[in-house]
Parts: sequence; C-alpha cells; structure tokens
Amino acid sequence: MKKILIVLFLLLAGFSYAQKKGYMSAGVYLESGTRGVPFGAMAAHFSYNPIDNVILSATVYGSVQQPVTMDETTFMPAARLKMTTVFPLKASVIALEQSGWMRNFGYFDIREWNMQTLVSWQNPHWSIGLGLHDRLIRDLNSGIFDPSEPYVNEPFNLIYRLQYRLALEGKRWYATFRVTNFDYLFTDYYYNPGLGAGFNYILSKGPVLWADLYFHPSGIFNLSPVFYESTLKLGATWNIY
Amino acid sequence: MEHLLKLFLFCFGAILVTGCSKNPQELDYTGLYHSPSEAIESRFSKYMDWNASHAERVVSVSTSDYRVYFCSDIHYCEGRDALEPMLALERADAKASFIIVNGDLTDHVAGLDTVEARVGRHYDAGGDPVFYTAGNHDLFFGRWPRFFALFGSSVYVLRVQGPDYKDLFVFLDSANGLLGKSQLKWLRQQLEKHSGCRHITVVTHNNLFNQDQNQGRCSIPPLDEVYELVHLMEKHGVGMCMQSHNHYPSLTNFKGIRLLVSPALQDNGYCLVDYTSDGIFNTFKKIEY
Repeated sequence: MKKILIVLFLLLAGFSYAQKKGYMSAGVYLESGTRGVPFGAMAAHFSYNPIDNVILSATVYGSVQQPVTMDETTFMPAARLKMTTVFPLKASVIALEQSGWMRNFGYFDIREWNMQTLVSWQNPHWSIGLGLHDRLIRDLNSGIFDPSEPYVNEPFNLIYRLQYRLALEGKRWYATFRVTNFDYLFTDYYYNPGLGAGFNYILSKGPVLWADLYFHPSGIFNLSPVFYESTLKLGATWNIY
Repeated sequence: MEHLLKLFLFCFGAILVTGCSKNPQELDYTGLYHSPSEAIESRFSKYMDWNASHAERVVSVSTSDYRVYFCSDIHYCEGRDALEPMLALERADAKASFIIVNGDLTDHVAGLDTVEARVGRHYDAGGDPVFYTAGNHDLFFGRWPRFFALFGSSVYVLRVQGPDYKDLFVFLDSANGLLGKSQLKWLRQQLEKHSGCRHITVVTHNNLFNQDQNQGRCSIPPLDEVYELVHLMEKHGVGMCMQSHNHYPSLTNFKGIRLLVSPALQDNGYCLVDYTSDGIFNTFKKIEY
C-alpha cells in the first residue's frame, strides 16, 4: 500500500507544481466487447504536461456488468493515475510509464489495487516495452489500508508490448499495430499476446478522433484460455492549452 | 537494429503457431487463432448428459473425521510414475476414504489408458474410490474424448454421507481456463440445493490466482470469472477450494475460503486433507523412495 501512496503523492505534487506551465488534454471513449464489457463501458481522461518530458494523466472508468450468477445488472467503477517520463536519446526516446489503478467490484465484495511500470524504447515507428505489474485483491469488507486483513497478492507479472506506428507525411491520420498482453487501460491474466490496432484522425483545431480494436485470440501454446475476446473503443481527445 | 527486430518477430511468430506438446505428432499449427479442443459449453452439455445417465456419486463414512488424498499433475509418461506409490500409501492409511485426482493425468493420449489401468489395479487391491476432473493436458491436443470415455464427467457433485453429517464436493472443469456461463449457473444451483452441509469443497484444476510465476499466466480463468466464483463460494459457505495446475503448493485464506493449491505428483508431491468436526486441515506430503 505504501507504493500506492508514494505514487499518489508524486502525482499530486506534479499537479501542484504545474499551475503555470504545460498543456492539458481531455477526452472520453466508449467501449464494447465480447467479454468483460458486453454492455459497454465509458471512460473520461485528463492529461497534463506540467514540465518538459513529464505527462500526468488520470482516468475514471465505469462499465455495466451482468454477472452470470446474479439476477441484477451491476456497475463497476475504476480510476487510474499515470505518470510518463520521457528520456530523449539521439533519434529515439526511452519512456518510463508508472501507473496505479483501482477497480471496485462492489457486487462481489472485492476491490482490486494495481501498480504497473513499463519501460519502452521508442522511435518514430517502433516501440518495444517491457514491464511489471502487481495486483492486490482485497475483501471489500476489510479496511482499505489494513494490511492484517486477508488479501491476495499477485506480484511481478511480466507485461510486454511491441508496437508499430504507421504515419505518412502530410496526412492527418496515423495508425498503430501492436502485440501485447495488456489492454489499453487495465491488465488481466493474459500471458499470451493479444493483437491490437488503433486509428487516429486529427481534425483541424479540433479533437483527435480515435478507434482501437483489441483482439485476444485463443489457443496459443495450446495452454492458453480457449475463448476469444475482442473489444472496440471509440474516443475523442481535445487539447486544452 | 532492424535485422534484430525482424529475427525477433520471426522467432516469436514461429513459437506462436505451434503447440507446446513434447510429442511431434501432436503439434498444433493452427494454435494462433483456433483451438481444435472442444469448448467448455459443449463439454458441459456432454457432462450433464453423462450425469443424467449415471448414478449420483456418494461415499459413506462411519466416523466423524475422514481423510482425502488430494493429488494432481501426474503428467504420466514412461519413467515417471508416482501414482502407484501414492495409491499404495492411500490403501495403507486407515483414515483415508477416497482420492481426488485434479487433472493433468498425462502428457500423451496413450498415458490416459495407463493411468486408468493403474487405478484398476488399485481397485483390484481393495482401494478406495478415485474421483477425477480434467486439466488442460487432458483436454488439449485432442485428448479430451479419450479422457471423457475413460473417466466420465468432470462436472459433478460428490456427497459424503457421515453418521450425523453431510459433506459436499463440487467438481468443476476449468481445463481451458474458462468455467463458462452454464457451469457457473449450475454451480450456483448445486450450492443452493445442497445447503446445510457440514463442509463444502469446490475442486477445479486451474489455480484461481496468480501468486507465483511457476506456470506463468497460462490458462487461468479471466478475472471477472474468478471474482464471481470466489463471491459465490463465500456466499454459500464453501470452506475449501482445491486447485492445482501451477505445481506449486500453497494455501491462502481469502474471504473465509481456504484456497489450496496442490503440489504436482509429477514431482512426488501430494496433499492430505482431513475433514473433521473442527474444520478442514491439510498437510503437504512428498513420496520418499
């Protein structure tokens, strides 16, 4: 829990420092999928660039769920904070992404805390990232920060992402293609790779419209979960200077 | 850098399209987008048909306490056979009432018949009953039809009838990392139907949580299903959930449920679980030769 407090402190400190400098952007997206979010989800995010090479972002998220063994429809809220630090190299950069998020499965009496660190090397086209993810699963009936209450810890899960960015000079759009084992916002149990594709269109002096398709295939290594999962996200991001 | 990247992509892709079976005849080159194994909803339907045409599984116990031998991940192949020594230990144990084999019986389809023959000899020697559920190695590479033919349903209830109590064991099939809607609904029905039992135990092959990296994150149910299963078990007073799959013995108490992961019998490990009027207690054991 100390790790979460440290990240919260750093993010808040960053926000405070950045009163006079930087840019802001905000956006929303809608999500639908074959598993997990069959009834749809919505997220709003806010990014802030307080000092050179540092981006802070916050996302609130909500999805409508229909648990199989429950008669009623339920709602799962979540919130995520992320800090990205960029270290420029000659013709590329190293990016350090540190994020923490909470998902509240109130209808199961479970609250989930997550910490994730991803280090990636990026050039204008390629991005190769490796990182670690840590999950703490707690009984909602226990105290939020009480370490003596029973919990489940899933430490040091390996995450990876290989991404290609296709951008043509003078065009308003760009596309990305990626192989990864974690989704846009959250990380589930998948060890085997999912396939993702994103499309972004920059309107003149307006929002960036984007779409993202993520596909988790079945059968890899013949040991992976044999179900297909796909999600589609449609969103828009506005720059607020 | 570009050459290295291309080499990496080629190697990565080559791994993705093959299976991980040690038997070259079982390699599955379609594995990236399609698994030829029967999906859980289809297997569940066959399990229910099987259950309807077979008698309910009941074990009668004359004492207030009894012992279960819990093992899994035999991964039987020539030169590796800890099953027979464990069966012999069980037969010599006066407290023992039955054996649970929680999946991954073998690493090749012919091994299923060998395991069945071993257990047949155990019965011939007067051994206690053995109950099974399927693991991922019993499903993939086309092994499940043979597993089903030899061992029957992997989704069923086992009632233990004591002198003044009833205990319940519910076996679930998580062999492909997904319980599925029908099985979860069926579990809820069984837990509601059998309320009032002294101890309730859920048995399923895949470990629910990823607390160590022994097996990576292969074949673990998705989080929404895990949380729903845990909530269901808590709501209906399930005392223990027996799991396997990652070969690493552990016991975690969470929401009043003892989450027990067995060691692999492949590594000579198994578990004794004692059901008493004071609770459920487990001991990790190793076969010493």
